[in-house]
Amino acid sequence: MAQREGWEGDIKEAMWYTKLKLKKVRCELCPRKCVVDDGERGFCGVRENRNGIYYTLVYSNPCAVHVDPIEKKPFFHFLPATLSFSIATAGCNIECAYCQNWEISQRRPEQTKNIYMPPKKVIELAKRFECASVSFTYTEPVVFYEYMFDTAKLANKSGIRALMVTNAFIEPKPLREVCKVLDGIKVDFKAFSEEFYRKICRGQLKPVLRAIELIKESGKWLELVVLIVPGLNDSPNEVKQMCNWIKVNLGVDVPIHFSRFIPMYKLRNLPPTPVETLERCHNIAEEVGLRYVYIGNVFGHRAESTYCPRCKSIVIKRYGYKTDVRGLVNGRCAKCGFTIAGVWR
Amino acid sequence: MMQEMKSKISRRKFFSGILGTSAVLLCQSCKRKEDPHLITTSNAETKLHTNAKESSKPTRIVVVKSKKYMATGTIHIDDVRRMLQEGIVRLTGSESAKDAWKLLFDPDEIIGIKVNCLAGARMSTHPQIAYAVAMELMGIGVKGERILIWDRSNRELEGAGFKVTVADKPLCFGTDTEGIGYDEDIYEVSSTGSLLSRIVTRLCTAFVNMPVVKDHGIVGYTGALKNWLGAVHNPNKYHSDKGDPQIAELSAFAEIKNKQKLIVCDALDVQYHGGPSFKPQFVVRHGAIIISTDPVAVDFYGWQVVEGYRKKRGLKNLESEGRKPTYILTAAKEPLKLGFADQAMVDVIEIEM
Repeated sequence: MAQREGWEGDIKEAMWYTKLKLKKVRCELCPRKCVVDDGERGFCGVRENRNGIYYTLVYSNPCAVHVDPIEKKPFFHFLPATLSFSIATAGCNIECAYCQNWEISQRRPEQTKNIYMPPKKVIELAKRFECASVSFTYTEPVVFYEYMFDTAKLANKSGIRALMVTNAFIEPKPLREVCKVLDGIKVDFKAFSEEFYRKICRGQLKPVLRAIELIKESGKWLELVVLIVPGLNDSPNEVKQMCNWIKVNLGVDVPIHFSRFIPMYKLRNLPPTPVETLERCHNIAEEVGLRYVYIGNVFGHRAESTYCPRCKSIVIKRYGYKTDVRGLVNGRCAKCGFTIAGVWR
Repeated sequence: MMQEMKSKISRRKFFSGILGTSAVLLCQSCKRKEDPHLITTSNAETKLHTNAKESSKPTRIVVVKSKKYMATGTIHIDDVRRMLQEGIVRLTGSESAKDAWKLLFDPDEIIGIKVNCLAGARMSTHPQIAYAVAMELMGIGVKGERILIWDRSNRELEGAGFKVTVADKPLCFGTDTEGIGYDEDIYEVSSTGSLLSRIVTRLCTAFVNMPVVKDHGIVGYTGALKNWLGAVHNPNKYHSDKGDPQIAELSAFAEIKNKQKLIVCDALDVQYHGGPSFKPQFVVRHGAIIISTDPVAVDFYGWQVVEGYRKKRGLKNLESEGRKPTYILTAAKEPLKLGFADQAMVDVIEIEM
């Protein structure tokens, strides 16, 4: 049995791996499929091979715990104007050059300040703070899969919704399994080119596309966010291709948020995304036929709000994290009665 | 262990001392840059070749073999010191061991001895070698409190048989010691962003790199170049593409390249398969210490040693297993040119004692 160190949470054997010869293991959680030698960790830095057994080092071991408006995730079509109890552990299975949370996502758990918080405690606190949901967010929940899975199961029993904010860089089997205990998933869709995924994020596009399709097939609520980085993933052609792919494979009711890039981590040499660029992306998505298109990280922009696809009236008005849902009645436009896609109660 | 240390010296006092000393040394190193008479890494190299007239080859490694270790599997610190003295004299062409050490290190430096402790007590840097180097350095006037034996964590140091201490001389502690940690600057190695240990960026002004010779299940071989993965906060990010080029690039950072004055590679035991963790069935007694100023030449040599044992034991070579350590070759090429990975360019001196 592995020896627990001071910075660790509960020592727990990892799910989704195979034992190999010479005490090696192969992680089968994400498409990277790290082969990990005894004493070493996978790319994520939070799963370690100890004597031929693979362990998660972040179970019950979050480094970020906040009560957030659900709009901050962002989920715009899932219980709007509610609070979400949001947790993250150290680690990520990709490395975006512009990561907004790199100080926790790109560190190992012994390098972050952690709070011991088993799943039961997470649910207790979520109730105490009157949160309608628990969100696994900020870093990459795929790397704290076991913790997320057990917490989500408890949430299901307690009447609290479970949400994952993810890069969707995950293998199909573990994804299908976790979808069973989740209520909503927001995917950070980085770009629509393999080159961007490989060079800027150290990831791969193809498995992400498959994962997004699987999420849609699972029937769980899905929203997409694309952080538009000037000069790297903002070409009209690429955005159009992405929107067409969404329309064909996911349908027109999946909300898409085009978010503003702020210089961060290794990409400090680029300017913030011009609002005009985001508006151009927004227009392309609408022209393709997507119904719910938003602009993020631009407080006060009209495209923060939800409009009825039929009568164009505001059904949910937003200003930053202030949300007014008076235009939505029982999931329908208050003015014309059109059904707005989402999870409203 | 740490509790014991705290009773001897308060943490505040210790770190004000260490970091204070470091600050003073940083100022001193600024002054040194203006002094043309002081030896920097580059002019130390020049002097080495001036003295070492036995070969026209551009780089040299000295392999000192111990008959005693081969016979008994044990070695005393005094034996190691004799091996080091003989080896460093042959490396530099100096008159005496003291002259040789002085050629490489100034007595007022803070010298970090980077050991490798990943594989526990039986396949990590032997403490006798690290302490022998420390004693040799003290022999030329480096104060014991200015010598730090270090690695990533205190747990790993203790696991390899080192006594973690902030009170004894030499010092011995890991980057995870409270108050040390990693610098905030992001260093980009290929597409990886890394934070470097403050032991590298702030505390030490010179390093002795002290790796072991091991097979590595992913990158093929682990030695001098890869030992610096113990100085970054995210070594797990360096294994993609068999570590090529990122392992090589890490050693090219000024903080490492300019401060790494000597490599003393522990090849008393060699693990030729199943690494990097300790697998006793693949460990052989080799009885050598490899000394050089060229980390690439040391790794190229160590790699051939591993291949030799693999061949003897009927194992495929690393290339056939898809684990050829190409990062060593990358380190030798433009634009890095950290040393030589070519037998024709390396003068190998073998001594048996």
